[in-house]
Amino acid sequence: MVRLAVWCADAASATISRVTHSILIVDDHAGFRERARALLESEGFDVVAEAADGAGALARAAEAAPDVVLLDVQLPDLDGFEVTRRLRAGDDAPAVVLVSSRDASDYGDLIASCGARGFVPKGELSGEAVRALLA
Amino acid sequence: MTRRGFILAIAVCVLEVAVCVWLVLASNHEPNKALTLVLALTAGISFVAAGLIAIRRRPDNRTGFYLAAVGYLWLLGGLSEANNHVIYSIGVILSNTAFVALVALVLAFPTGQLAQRPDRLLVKLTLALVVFVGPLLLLFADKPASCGSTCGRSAFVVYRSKTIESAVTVVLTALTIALIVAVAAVLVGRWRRASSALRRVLRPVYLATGGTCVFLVLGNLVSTFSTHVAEILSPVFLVALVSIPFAFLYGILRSRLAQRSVADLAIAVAEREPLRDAIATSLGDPSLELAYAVDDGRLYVDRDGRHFNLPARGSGRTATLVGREGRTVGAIVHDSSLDDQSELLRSVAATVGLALDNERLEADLRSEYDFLLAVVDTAPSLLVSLDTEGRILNLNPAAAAASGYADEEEVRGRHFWEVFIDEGEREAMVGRFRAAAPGFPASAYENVFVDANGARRVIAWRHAPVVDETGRVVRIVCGGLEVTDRYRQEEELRASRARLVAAGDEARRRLERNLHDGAQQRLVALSISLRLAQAKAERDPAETKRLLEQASQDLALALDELRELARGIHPAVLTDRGLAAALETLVARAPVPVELTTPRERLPAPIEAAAYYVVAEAVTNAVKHAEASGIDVTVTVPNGRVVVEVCDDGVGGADPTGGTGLSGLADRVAALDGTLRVESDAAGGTRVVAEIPM
Repeated sequence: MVRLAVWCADAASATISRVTHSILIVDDHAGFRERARALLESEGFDVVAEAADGAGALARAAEAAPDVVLLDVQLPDLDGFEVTRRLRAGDDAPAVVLVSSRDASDYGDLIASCGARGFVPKGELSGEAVRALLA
Repeated sequence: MTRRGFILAIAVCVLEVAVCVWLVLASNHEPNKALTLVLALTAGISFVAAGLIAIRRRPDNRTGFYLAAVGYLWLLGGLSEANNHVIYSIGVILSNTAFVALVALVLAFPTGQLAQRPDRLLVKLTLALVVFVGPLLLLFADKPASCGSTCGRSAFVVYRSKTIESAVTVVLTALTIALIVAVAAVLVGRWRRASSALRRVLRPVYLATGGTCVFLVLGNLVSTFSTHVAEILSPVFLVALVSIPFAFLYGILRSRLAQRSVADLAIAVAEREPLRDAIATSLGDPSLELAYAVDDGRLYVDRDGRHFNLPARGSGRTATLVGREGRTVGAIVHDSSLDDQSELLRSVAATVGLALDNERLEADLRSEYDFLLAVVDTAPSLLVSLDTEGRILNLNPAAAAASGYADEEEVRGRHFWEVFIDEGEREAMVGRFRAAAPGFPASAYENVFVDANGARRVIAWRHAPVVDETGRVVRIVCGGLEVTDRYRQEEELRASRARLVAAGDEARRRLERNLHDGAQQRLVALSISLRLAQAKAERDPAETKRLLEQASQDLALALDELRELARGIHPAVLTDRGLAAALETLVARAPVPVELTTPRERLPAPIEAAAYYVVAEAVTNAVKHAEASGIDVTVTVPNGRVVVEVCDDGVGGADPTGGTGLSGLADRVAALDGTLRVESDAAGGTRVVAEIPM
């Protein structure tokens, strides 16, 4: 009963203020992926998959068809901008939110021009910040 | 000799001759009056005449005096033809004194001086023999047995004794022979020491005198046994005796003869015959040499411009200086036997002054030219001369070597650009060259070319024109400095700088990456963990606690990574405690045993840093790539330099040119003027040695 009540309360709050988004987390650091998953899930996101590099990101996105891809700019194979361009090229393209431990100003126009929805510094990552970009 | 003296001397001679003729004709003991007159008078008159001529011509030379003395004394010997016993006896004594003068004459020739002590002694002995021993016969015999019928009677007999007479005759003969042998020995010695020029002067005199002596000895010897044969030899002796003054006369007249050759010399000089040969012919000295005064007469050079030392006094060679317009222009170096012919030498010197001066100028120029040639040949710079078509006329050894051709002849005559300009740039060069005609103004440029041996050379060239008196360019001189090494060093320096910059960039990139991948990720994770904990603090305390623990671990890890990173940038212990402490810390972290030897004293900071990184890199390589099981690290400071040596027992085969680690270290060491070498072969073991001057 308590659990149900909690669930209901959560669902109600999600329904009221938030839309549940399926999300793919792409980062080559497992530690970040783990914490981002915990954070975003706690804020109502549905983490449908994780990937550690660009190729993995493209593959997981095709499989899981997430609403959002949380994409690290620096990846071992392709960089985040290139991955964004490819993700955005297809039909039903997911929204891409770029993250990095660097500052947005380090990348200039690249963020806007690659087709990403926006940029969130890793240190300021929160469901709220992602939602703000998706709105 | 004054004219009056000369006339008096002739008068005395005439008087003597008259007395002699009278005495011979009236003589009661002269069997062969005609022959005696002809030969005795001819000999006497010849000596007197030769003597008087010599005295007139060469008053400074006593040869004439001795010649005349022989003649006068010889004629006085005519008194021995007198029938009066006293006059006869005096004549006998005086006739022999002619031999004293003869010995003096021979020994003093050609200088006219009895310069040597043996010469003077021999003359004195002859005088003693003639004055004291010869006349003894007159004391002990009316007529010496050797005379036969040709003698008068002695006026001075004190005691008649055949025995004493014979003894005196033997002693006299023996002493005469001894004297002649002694004189001959002196003359032979003089002959052997004489130069060829002197021998030519001595030869006729010695032959005549020697012949006379031979007949005198024969006459003396024969007269002891046969008066008849002695009488036959007497005229032969007289003939030989007559030849002596002629021989001396020739010796005296040779300068006069040579004077005539001065005229020939003037013609030879005018016709530009070789000067030395012409003078040598004139003076009759084939060994003659010419020296040319340079540097205002302070130095002498030969025809080829080489230094010439004038002969020292007493060396048998004499230098007669040749002057012109008050300057010494050279010297005729000749045999000292010509010294007595100062008049002739002066004439020759005056004749050749202008020609020698010209040759001196030529020798001067040649000397200058040789100097310049030596400079050009030894210059490290390339020197090439071109004609106005760009063809190589000449080149110095440095240029020949730089061309890469073994033989200069392969280069001469070819176009400059065919030899010293690469094919690709040749056309441009030809264009520039032709555009510079006809003035060919001075220019400078650098070019890179591949020589005939395939070696790449860089030459800095300068071209300048050489013009003739009309201002027309006759050739172009190209001076080149090979700057290949400088270029190579500059390229190496550029490469080294680029590598240092790249290494710096790489280090910063690595640092940024390490920060990004390490501490920054930890801090990002920490930040997320804290935000999660914050969100769950009220609703889920257990989860919050777990998240805070995780955040704490993240923070500790981030701190560790930052510390490690800082150490990688520059080990603090190296700055604070020096190389020894830093290396001890370094080797303590190594996974294999490291034997470490370090100096106790502190070294300059840049050297300590370079040494530290050499050891760090070498140890890392030994562990990571060489799989070493033991490493020796030694840092020593011998003779003002620091030597860092790292040896391992690993698999070897390290390539110092591969990778950035070792080449980066080499650049770091080179920046301190040091060297880094890596000795490593496939058989195993690697030795890295850095040497850095303090």
